Amino acid sequence: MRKLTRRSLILLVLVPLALHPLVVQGYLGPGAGFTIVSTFFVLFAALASAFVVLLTWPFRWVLKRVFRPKRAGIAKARRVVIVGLDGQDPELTEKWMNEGLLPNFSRLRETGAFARLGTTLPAESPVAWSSFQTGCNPGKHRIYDFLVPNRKSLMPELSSANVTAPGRTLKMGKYLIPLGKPSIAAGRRSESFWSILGKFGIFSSVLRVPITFPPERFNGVLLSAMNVPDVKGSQGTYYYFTTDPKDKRVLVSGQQCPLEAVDGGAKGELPGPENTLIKDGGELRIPFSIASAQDGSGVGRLRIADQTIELRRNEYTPWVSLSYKAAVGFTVKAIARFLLLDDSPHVRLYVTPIQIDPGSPALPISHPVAYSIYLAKRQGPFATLGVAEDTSGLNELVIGEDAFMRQAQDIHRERETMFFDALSKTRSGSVVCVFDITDRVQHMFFRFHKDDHWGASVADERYTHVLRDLYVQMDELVGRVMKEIDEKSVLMVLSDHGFKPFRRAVELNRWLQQNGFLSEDLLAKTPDLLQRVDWSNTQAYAVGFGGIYLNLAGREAKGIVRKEDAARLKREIIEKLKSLRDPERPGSPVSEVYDRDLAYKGPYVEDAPDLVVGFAPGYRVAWETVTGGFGERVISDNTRPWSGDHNMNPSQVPGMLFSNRPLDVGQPHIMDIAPTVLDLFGVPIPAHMDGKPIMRGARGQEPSGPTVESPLAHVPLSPRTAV
Amino acid sequence: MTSIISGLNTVLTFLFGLVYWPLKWLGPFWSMVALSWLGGMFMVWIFGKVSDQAAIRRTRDRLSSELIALRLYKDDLRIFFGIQCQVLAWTLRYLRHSLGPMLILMVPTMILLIQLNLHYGFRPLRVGEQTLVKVKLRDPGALGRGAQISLQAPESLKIETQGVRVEEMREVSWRVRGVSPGRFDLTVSDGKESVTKNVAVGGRLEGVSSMRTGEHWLTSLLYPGESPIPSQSAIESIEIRYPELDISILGKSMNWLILFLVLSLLFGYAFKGVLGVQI
Repeated sequence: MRKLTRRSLILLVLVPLALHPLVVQGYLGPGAGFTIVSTFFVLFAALASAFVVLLTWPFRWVLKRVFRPKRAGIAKARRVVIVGLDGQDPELTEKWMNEGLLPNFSRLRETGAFARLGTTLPAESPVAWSSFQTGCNPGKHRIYDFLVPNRKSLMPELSSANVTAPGRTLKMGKYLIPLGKPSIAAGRRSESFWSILGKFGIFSSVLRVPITFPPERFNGVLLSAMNVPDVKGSQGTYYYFTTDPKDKRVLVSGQQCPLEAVDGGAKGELPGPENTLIKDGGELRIPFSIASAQDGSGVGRLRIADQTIELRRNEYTPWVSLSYKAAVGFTVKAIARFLLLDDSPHVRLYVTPIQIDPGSPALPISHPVAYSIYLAKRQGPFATLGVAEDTSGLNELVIGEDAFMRQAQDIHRERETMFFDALSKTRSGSVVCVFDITDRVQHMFFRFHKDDHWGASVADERYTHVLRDLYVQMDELVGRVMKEIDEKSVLMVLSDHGFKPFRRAVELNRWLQQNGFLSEDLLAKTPDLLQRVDWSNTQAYAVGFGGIYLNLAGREAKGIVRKEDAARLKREIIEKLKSLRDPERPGSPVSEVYDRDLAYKGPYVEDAPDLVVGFAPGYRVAWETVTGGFGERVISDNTRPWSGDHNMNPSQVPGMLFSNRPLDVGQPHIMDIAPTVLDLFGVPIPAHMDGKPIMRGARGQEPSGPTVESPLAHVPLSPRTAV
Repeated sequence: MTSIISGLNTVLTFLFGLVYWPLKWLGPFWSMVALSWLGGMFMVWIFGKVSDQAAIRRTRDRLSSELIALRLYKDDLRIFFGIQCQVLAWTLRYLRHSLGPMLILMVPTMILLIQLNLHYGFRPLRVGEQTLVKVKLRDPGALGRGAQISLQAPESLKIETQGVRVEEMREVSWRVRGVSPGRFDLTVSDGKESVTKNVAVGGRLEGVSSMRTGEHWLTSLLYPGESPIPSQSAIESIEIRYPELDISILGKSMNWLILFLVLSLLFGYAFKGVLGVQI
């Protein structure tokens, strides 16, 4: 109807003009004027840039030839494409390949290679992907876990990035004008393979590889992933609003906010970042209202910041642009999605973590900064948070399985769009993209999966095949990638670790306390963040996914353990932990306890946990331990939706590696990928790398043993991981 | 048709007069600034209403992304020139999305420009200043057959020359001079009937009608200052050659149309965000 009206109007104007030749003034108003002016400038800019590029290309080519380092050998590939499927389990993949469900993976196995991929200690994404990109063990890249203790403040902190506000400010009345930019300190050390490739003039497109925040400068484009914060500076704070006064929840990763019932709907305020431009400025907020019939129809309208968005129960809104105005000329741009959970009798609303707007990033989330803007302009807003899929929302039962799955799938589609764009624009060089959906969905849906000796913990026909369908979906993705590449391209599809059920939680701080290694200060206000540790009587404490730290004198701010007693203390803890038994199940929850001095080597070993616990399949560290807290029992049932995990003994949860070219070895390690990529491009492999090239083109040669000599050479892959 | 246009002119001139009346005291430049602001906002608002805003936003975003891509992928010439093609393609799409609204915008823009031309195109004669009065006849052979066309003026206007007849152009011209300020009627007669034409001498900035035309819808539309000359009259039009109004900026005179173009563009661009319109 609208088109018809517009056409009619156009005809009404055009016909009289055509019938009566008239000298019409050339000016048609600002709208049309800008169309013409901007069109002219766009074409001018495009043509000018083409001219400049053509003119300078020969000079740039010569300069690069002359000044860039010489390659060590002839490149064996024009392009290396690496598809990371975070957490895809080789055992499940093999099972469903054998059942004929994964034809593309099977084709790769038959024509190229398939192997278990040795993972890091601990077997978790920040550590493993850091080893992937640097070719080093954690002792050289310094990423040992998501959270590590600050030895001075004795508080847990993020291991990979630390964002601090500008140090100096100019005070003008109530305003604090920052004299500089926020600083972002990278925790990861060593050098990524794409950075090394760049020095040799090889371009890379790197998308959402964990531990790439802050983005590094190199010859290529990069979009950061894990550890990119939301606009509040957290790793993902979601919001729950309800008009129900009786609905009071204790949320750890989310925030419950008041929602006032008003005639025909509700109104509230969406929290945002702290206003650091005004002294004691508090939290910035954006008011919003929901107009709802409250008749159970599940339809409403959200009004926020001059936008009106239709709400439908259990349907996400598109990304909504948000502007938090801190002061005149200072606005923090953000995006979020809204999900109306219920509209009658009470309005219940879920809001995703409020994320950095990629089209106008408050912090650099890409290299160059324009790259995230390019992607946002090309495909629309997309999730930018490090761990974008809101597992916490489901884990804390604010959203359900279906809502979580839709969110994860939407984010995956965004990721696919940017990946295939990068693939089409990177004809030579490396393309690396990590898809997280495999990790997130397995974390939350493993409880429905039956094919394991633990059995499914929840019987629900709707979700029984979620994991299988997910693997089929990844197979289709791999199939599409295979169609896009030619014989000069090397394709690697890999995961950083596998997956196992997480049924029983082991609370290490409680165990340390019960065994006399830790003293608990019961008067402390906060139960977590190591606040309840009585440091004057504590020999060891636990933070993160299995790390145990000695309270070492001279290292910890309140250390009491003498250096000469450290080895004895470690031996004692190892022996006692290995003898830990689960009163409700046979066997030990602990497969191995690793001493850092044997497990790691490199300049940053001092920063590692003194001991790392390798849990048996089915067991994982308790949530309380992760943030330095205390649980009531040492071993308890995991009753949360987060039911699959990989923070177990690394040999039990290897990753997987598929390639369209054969491998030289039978037991590759994730540290081998970086030197392999360098070798494929004929770039010399730095001596500090622990991994070895595994694709030197020895087609038909019998695969040999493991490539990695040290760090985990004493951690054998389980027998079923042999190719 | 002419009567509809004439009625429309009356309404439009009245409405424009309402807007213009409080502004005319500001003088030519500042009143033009204010009208450019109002006009720019108005046309941007219309552009927003008659265009597919979502499509324009998508197209602009894609165009922006391709321009950024030119910088990101400048080292691979094949990719680079592929992006150049995309820039061209998306520019054409952008023009396509803007073409319809541009044509629709011609209507209000024309109306606005006609009214602005009425008020800013010319200035009244100064006392003592001369100008030409041109009368055009309908019948191409009337002057050849000796038609007697006369001009009568009130005392406040002095007719300084005899009528000069140009048969090929069907025109008779006189030179007149303003004697005292005010608005007066000249009377043109062919012996059978008389037609009047308003003349402005002195006074503040206000609209002056340079031409009174016959009953044709288009000319009626273009010259809305006076009612059309009846179609049965032998006289087709009467034109007063008023001096053009120069708007002075920093000591330099500027044509009103250029000033309006620049100012309305700037105001439109500055306020498009306020109006929530994608251009």
